[in-house]
Formats: sequence, structure tokens, C-alpha cells
Amino acid sequence: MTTLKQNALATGAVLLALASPAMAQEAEVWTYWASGAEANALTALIGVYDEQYPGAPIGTRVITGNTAEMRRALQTAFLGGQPPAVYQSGMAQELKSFADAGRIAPLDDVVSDVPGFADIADGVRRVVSVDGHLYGVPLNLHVVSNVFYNKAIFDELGLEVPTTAEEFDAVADKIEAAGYQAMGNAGGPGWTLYTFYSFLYNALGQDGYYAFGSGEIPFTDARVKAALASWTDAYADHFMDDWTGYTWSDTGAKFAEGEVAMYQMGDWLSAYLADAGWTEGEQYGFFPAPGMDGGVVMQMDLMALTSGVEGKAAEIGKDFMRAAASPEGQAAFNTVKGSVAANPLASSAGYSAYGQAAFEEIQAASPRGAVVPNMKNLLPVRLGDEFGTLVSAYAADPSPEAAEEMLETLEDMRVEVKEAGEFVTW
Amino acid sequence: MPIKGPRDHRAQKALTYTLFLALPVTFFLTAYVYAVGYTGFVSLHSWDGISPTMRFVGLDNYGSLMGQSRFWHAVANNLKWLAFYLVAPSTLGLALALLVDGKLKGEGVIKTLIFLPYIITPVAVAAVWRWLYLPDGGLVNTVLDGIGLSGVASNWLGDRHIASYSVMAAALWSTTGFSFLVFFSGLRSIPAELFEAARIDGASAFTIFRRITIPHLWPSTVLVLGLFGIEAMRLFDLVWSMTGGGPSRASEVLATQLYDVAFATFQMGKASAIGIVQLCLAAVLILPYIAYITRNVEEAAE
Repeated sequence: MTTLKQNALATGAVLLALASPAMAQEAEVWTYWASGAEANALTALIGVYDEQYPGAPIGTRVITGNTAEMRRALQTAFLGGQPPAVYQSGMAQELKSFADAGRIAPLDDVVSDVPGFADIADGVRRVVSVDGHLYGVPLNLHVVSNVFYNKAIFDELGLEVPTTAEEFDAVADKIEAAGYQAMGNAGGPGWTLYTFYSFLYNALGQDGYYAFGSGEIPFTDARVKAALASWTDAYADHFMDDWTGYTWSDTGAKFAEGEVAMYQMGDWLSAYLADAGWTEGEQYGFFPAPGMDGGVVMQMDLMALTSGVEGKAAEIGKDFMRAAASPEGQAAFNTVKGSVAANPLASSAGYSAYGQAAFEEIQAASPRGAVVPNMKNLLPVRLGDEFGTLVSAYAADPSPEAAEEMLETLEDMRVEVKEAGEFVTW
Repeated sequence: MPIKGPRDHRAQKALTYTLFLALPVTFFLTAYVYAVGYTGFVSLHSWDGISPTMRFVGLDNYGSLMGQSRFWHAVANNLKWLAFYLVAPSTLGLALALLVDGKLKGEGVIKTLIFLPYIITPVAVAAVWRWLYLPDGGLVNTVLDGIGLSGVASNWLGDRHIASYSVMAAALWSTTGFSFLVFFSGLRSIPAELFEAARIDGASAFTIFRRITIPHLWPSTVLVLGLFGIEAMRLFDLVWSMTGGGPSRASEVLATQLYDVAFATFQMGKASAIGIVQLCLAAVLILPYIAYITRNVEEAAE
């Protein structure tokens, strides 16, 4: 029986060891860049960090999935008192919820002396700041307001790139008459909504766009109604058949196979097309969505510094943020990932033909403040989610009655969300 | 060496039992009882999941759920899944088991082929079926076009009226293997003498099926229906991987809605309320059923 007692003691010791506090924290950066160009881009950025701050390595951990999975992982980490030093975050409302909860640290003093960082686009700065303080380092910008088009089809039909909603509608009619699908689109709560932003921007203007994102303009406003009607004629009525059954990459494949003539998608489509052997300026071109008038709608990934980490790990976190904000770090990351740097001093030398053009597009729009964020991220999350879901359902079967009903539903929710104090004045 | 009395022996046995039970009981208390209790606690609060503090709101989250058509739509979908699971894969599994049982050549291969889909993870099943269901170029529509049924070809996962049923077809393919295997083992465990005696007595094939096969398969049926019932109420992975609950939330079930509300729209309190309602609904629907059929199995066994 002595053996049994010894076993009991051993079991107890193991249980105690399992229950004891974890080892001292190591500095880690958590991202959901799991593979391919994204993972390689992070490795390149860490290479720059290691060069700039040798002898203090930072670990990485992949949280498979997206912002929702990251939030779930962080929630557990915060509850357990073991958050990472740095993590990949979404912009605007996503970032604000962490700042309001006191889970992330302001970065004003951390990156203020990083060359070029003071000159990031105004639209970018707005959505990485909360209550006037910087809380995120914007790492990579993605333009979501460009329409990709098949040059062979445009040449075959003798079409000019459209610049207004009316011209777009006419071009789409001609494409359909020739037997092609005019406009690509994909199912899900986001993609369809993204295509509506240029119409909203055009109807409300730059300030109005931010006012709408701040909850100051009703969904039932005449300008919003007109934008929806115009978008329905130019876009929704020309979406390809059965688009609700495709993912963005399924539709990317149809575009690359020459079945679809135009496709408004984030500029990650250019990386997808590059894999299919397509080059910007040869097989495909792109133009700003009608009504953008030199403006650019963008979204981005950013890095946030948690406030729950102390000691050496916290210092490593701050140094990593400086490296991520630096022109060298941004160039290293974005040339590999195929996105565009937020820091205007970052070299664009390694960009693809598309990346170079998108970088120039952003630099041209920036001085006028015409780089605006993805509206879905400006709106309180539950309203943004509802907006995306309803617009997608509407586009599948548009009618004036459905438009009216959708805008009224969204307006009711806007009022409710406003009363709950969930809007932010951007 | 002193000889130990029966009392010592009993104490040692008790210690052994305690040690063996300690781990599962601890696990049950922390991973289940505590988790459910904490979810109930969170459901009475407004919390974004990140803030260090929560705001007590009483039953507001439940009230808000009850007034939302989105919530009731998910409940209705779960009930559809329950009906589907209780009928389709179980009946098909039984039919295949009866068909294969000792009547076909290459039984081993056929059994393996039928069971194989069940061991594939739901995410992989979803990936394969998404591809089969592509509206243009997907295998399903291509075959339908090929046999002159292009009128039936559909946007299987993109049409809000049929998306749930399309996912169910994938589930049917994936889960029938399980019910098949259980029914098949059940059939094999019926003593051959019973069939023999019935045949000698001149019983028809249908009578044998009704009077011998079905009653003896009752324990297998309890197992299959019970597990499928639970699966229907906690369904998440297949729906999430195939449609994400879409298009426009048409195929959403409670578990996918819970995930979306919790981590995409940061409403942990409301998501917890969905979880509690889901648990209660599962208990209300499934427990009496399990209790009822279990009692009948006991009676049948006596």
C-alpha cells in the first residue's frame, strides 16, 4: 500500500504543478497571419525588428482565423492575466473597444519620433486613434474602392473606363449584351456593402461620410436613399448570376477565367491574379469606383500594444511597435504581403505593378484628406454587421419596396444604437 | 509486518476510488458546472468580453432575444435540424444496414465506403461540399445539366430558401455512416435462432422484420436518435464552414448566432443568453425523449 500512497502523492504533486502560476511572461506578437505571403511578411518585419533591436527577440503566435478568433483568444488571455505584448487588431470600433476597456496602451510617446509616421494619411490616423490618442500602428493599407477590369473584354467591345454611375451602368449593359457577366460579387456580410461606399461617399461628401459613420445622418436621409437607388441601377442590377453562392476567391477565379468583366474587390485580388499569371496593365487594369473622384476607401491591419504586460516584455513590445512603424519595417512587410505601407516614407521599390499604382493613388488622395476608412469599421459593430447583412440580402433581390424597408430597419437600429451611446465621432 | 484489518482495507479502497474519481469530478465541475454557471451569470450582464467590468442588466438580454426575429429564425432552424437528424440519417442508416447485412458480396468494402464519410472532419466535409455546390461548374449542377435536369440546378448555398437543406444533404452524407454502423452491429447481435424459428413457424419477411428485427434494434435506435438529437441542438461546425450562417443569416442556427453575437459584435451578455436558451431548449426537447425511450428499452429488455 505504500506504493498507492506514493502514487497519490505523485498525483497530487502533478495536479499542484498544473495549477501553479505560469512561467514568467515572454514577449509575443499574436497575429492571424498563418501562412503564405502573410506569414512571410511578418517574418520579414521581425527581421527588421531584430536588426534594429538586437538581443531582445520577440516570439510569434498564430491565432488561426480572423478578428473574431483573435478577440476570443485575447479575451481568454486577459482573463488569465497572460496577454501578448502586441497583437494584430482591426481599426476604429474594434480598436476602440479595447482602448475603452483599458486593455491597450496609448502609443503617442512610443512612435512619435519614428521618421515619416507623423505624415500618415488623416483618414488612417483617425481610425487608429481613440479620444485623441494613438492606439495602433497602421501596418498595411488595402484599397477596397478599386474596380478591376478585364482588358481583353474592354478592348474587344471598345469600352472606355467609366467614371460615373451612369457611365458604369451603360458599360455594364454593353458587356452583358455581349454575353459576359458584367460585375463580379461574392456572398457574405461584407463584400456587397463594400461596393456601396463609393456611392455613399459621392452622395454625402468627405465630411458627410464621416458624419454618417458617426451616426449623425439618418439612413432614411434623401441623399442615402438616392445613393442606394443609384447603386442598385449601376451595380446591384449587374451583379453576376448566383453571386451569393460564391466566395470572393471563387469569383476571383471566374474573373481570371474571363467570364466576369469587372470586379470591385480589395487589392488582395491583385495577389490572387498574380498567382493566376495576370499582371496589372496587361491582362487586367483597375479604375476607382464611380463617384470616388480621386478618393480612396481603405482598410488595414494594425498592431496594438497591450497594457497588461510589464517589465522587459513591455519594453520589447514598445520596440517592436517602433520597428513596425518605421519606413524599413513597413517596406519589408508590405512588399512581401502585397499591400501598401501606411508610412509614406516607406520605399515602394519592391511593389508589384498594381501595388505601385495603389501606393500612388493613396499618396495622391492623402493631402486632400480623401483617404477614408471602410464604413463598416466606423459604425458601431452591431449596426455595421446588420448593415452588411441587409445590403447583401437586398442586393440578391432588389426592389424599391425592399430598399425602403431596409433603410427603415437600419434607421430604427441607428436610433437605438445612438441612444445607447455606441457611436464615435470620427 | 503488521497485518491490516478490514477497516484499513476499506479506507484504502475509498482512497483509491477518491483518487480515480478526483480528476473526472474536478473536470466536470470546472469545465461544465462552473462554465454553465458562469455563462448564466454573464447572461445577466452587459459585457463586451474585454472590459474588466460588466454592467448588471437583469433579464434584459433574454427580453431582447425574445423580441428578435433573428433569434426565432435560428430556433426554427435548430428544430428543422432536429427533425432532419431524427428522420433522415437514422432511416437511411437503418435501410443501408438491412440492405448490406449478409446479402451483398464485398460486404467489408461496402461497410467501409459507407462509414468513411463519418470519419472526415466537418470542416473538410464542408470544403468538399462547397465545391460540389458551386453554382457554375460544381459537380451537382453539372450532373443535373448533363441528365437534362437543368431546371433543378440551383444556387445551393446562395439561395436563402434552400441553403439549410443543402447543408443537411451534406450532413446526411457525412453522418449516415454512424447510424449505419450502429444498426449493423445491432442486426448482427440478434440471435439467428429467432429468425430460424420464425421462418419454421411460417412468418413472412415483413412479420419477421416487424416482430423480431425492429424490437431487437431498439437499443441501437435509442443510441442513434439520442446522439443525433444532441447533435442537432449543438450543431455548429458544418453550418459555419459551409455558409457562415448565410446567405443573410438564412441558415443560421443558435450556435453560429451565439458565436457571431459574441465575437463579431462583442455582445457577450446576449451571446451567453443564447447559450443558456440553447441549453434549456436542448434539455426540454431531448431529456424527456431520452427518458421515455430509455424506459421502454428497459421494459423491452426485461
